[in-house]
Amino acid sequence: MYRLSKRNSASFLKSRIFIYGIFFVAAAATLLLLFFRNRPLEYYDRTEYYLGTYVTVRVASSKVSPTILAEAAMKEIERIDEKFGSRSRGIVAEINANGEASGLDRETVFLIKSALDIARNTNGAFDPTLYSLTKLWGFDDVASEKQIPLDVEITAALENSGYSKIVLNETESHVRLMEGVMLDLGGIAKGYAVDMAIARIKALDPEATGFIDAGGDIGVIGPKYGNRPWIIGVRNPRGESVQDIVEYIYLYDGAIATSGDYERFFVVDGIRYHHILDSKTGLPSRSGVISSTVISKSTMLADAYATAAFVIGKEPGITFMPRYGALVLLIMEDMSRYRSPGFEVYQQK
Amino acid sequence: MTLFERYDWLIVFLIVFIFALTILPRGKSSGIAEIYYDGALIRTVDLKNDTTFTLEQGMEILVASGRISVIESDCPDKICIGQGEIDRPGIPIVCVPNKILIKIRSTESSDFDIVTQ
Repeated sequence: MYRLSKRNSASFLKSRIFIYGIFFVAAAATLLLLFFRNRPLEYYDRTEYYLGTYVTVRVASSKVSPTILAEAAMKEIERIDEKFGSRSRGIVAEINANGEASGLDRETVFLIKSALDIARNTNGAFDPTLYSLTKLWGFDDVASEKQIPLDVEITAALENSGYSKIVLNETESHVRLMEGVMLDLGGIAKGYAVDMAIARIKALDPEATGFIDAGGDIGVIGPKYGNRPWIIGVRNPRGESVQDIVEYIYLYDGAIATSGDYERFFVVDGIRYHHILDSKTGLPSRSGVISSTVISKSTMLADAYATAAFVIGKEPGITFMPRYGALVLLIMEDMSRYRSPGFEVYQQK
Repeated sequence: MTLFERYDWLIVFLIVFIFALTILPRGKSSGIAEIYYDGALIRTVDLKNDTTFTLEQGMEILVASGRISVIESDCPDKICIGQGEIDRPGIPIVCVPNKILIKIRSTESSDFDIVTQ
């Protein structure tokens, strides 16, 4: 009996040491695991005011600090804002003041060429020469007085507009504005800035993921956490809140932009006068569209074609849009929808 | 004699407790606070930047070291101030008289990431 008990207590001691040994190994393994495990990607957000809107960069990277990536993106957007963002300073002001300019840098030539290409492709539904008209209606600035211009004023402003009055000579880097037309790159500079900022981020880390949102013009840097789509809500054009969503779109890459008659408008005698002007009539576009969303490979194209699609409406011309890489979702006055063939692919999870 | 005596049980309990603390899922904070008035989002606040500001509903909000709190309010019973600082989704600060709700945006709660407009 005594011997048994002694042997038992010895084996108890042994099993105790054994169990504590297991605890110790487990603890060490857990610590090692915690230490070496990849930290989950965390998204870093940064918002600043550029190009007349709030620009948000959301980025994550496993190689480079996202703060540095966001900083690089914001620097690039600031640069483009200074160069093309204003009509009163920078290169656009120079061209408009002199009626022509030579020795343009490649970036300026590219932007003017892009604007003219889109204008041609959409038969003027997007037009980079409508500044005098925009100003007439008071949509050039938040502070400007919004008013319905006189017919004669509109006719006069229409005579000084039209993209065909801009002559660009690419090989000689020369641009000439005819018949007092004014160049306005505001319609594509914002999207271009997003595209360039994404290129900056990709140059630092090609694997970086996230998106850049410039007032609803969104360019995707890379899929959410590397493998999930960003879920983009299309704002209800007649909703009370920005969070009132009517359509969902899933984007792994590319860009999306929306033009709506709710962005800038005023109401007189129950009629809504909005900022998207028809280059044919000089009046706010009355195509029956109240919101148009375009998915494209670049934010610049998405933004410009969204404006054009708003003006074109359900006319046959809209069917040409996918040819230029623009998939369209139109929301009409009665909230009915029109989708380009292929758009629905982006609405499936 | 048993395998575990009293102090062994204490150690086992401690180990399990510490383990549970590190493993338990916690509500992920996005570092963004949202302020709602009467159900509508009126302001979002980045908790990374320390600041104080005043809401027109008569409340003074403090953001410090990643947490948000109400430090001054004109409501009668100051329950909102008593709710202290928050930094995680789940428990919002509510001021019923002023119809103000302050909550931390959860990384998973929204059904969309971003809005095109």
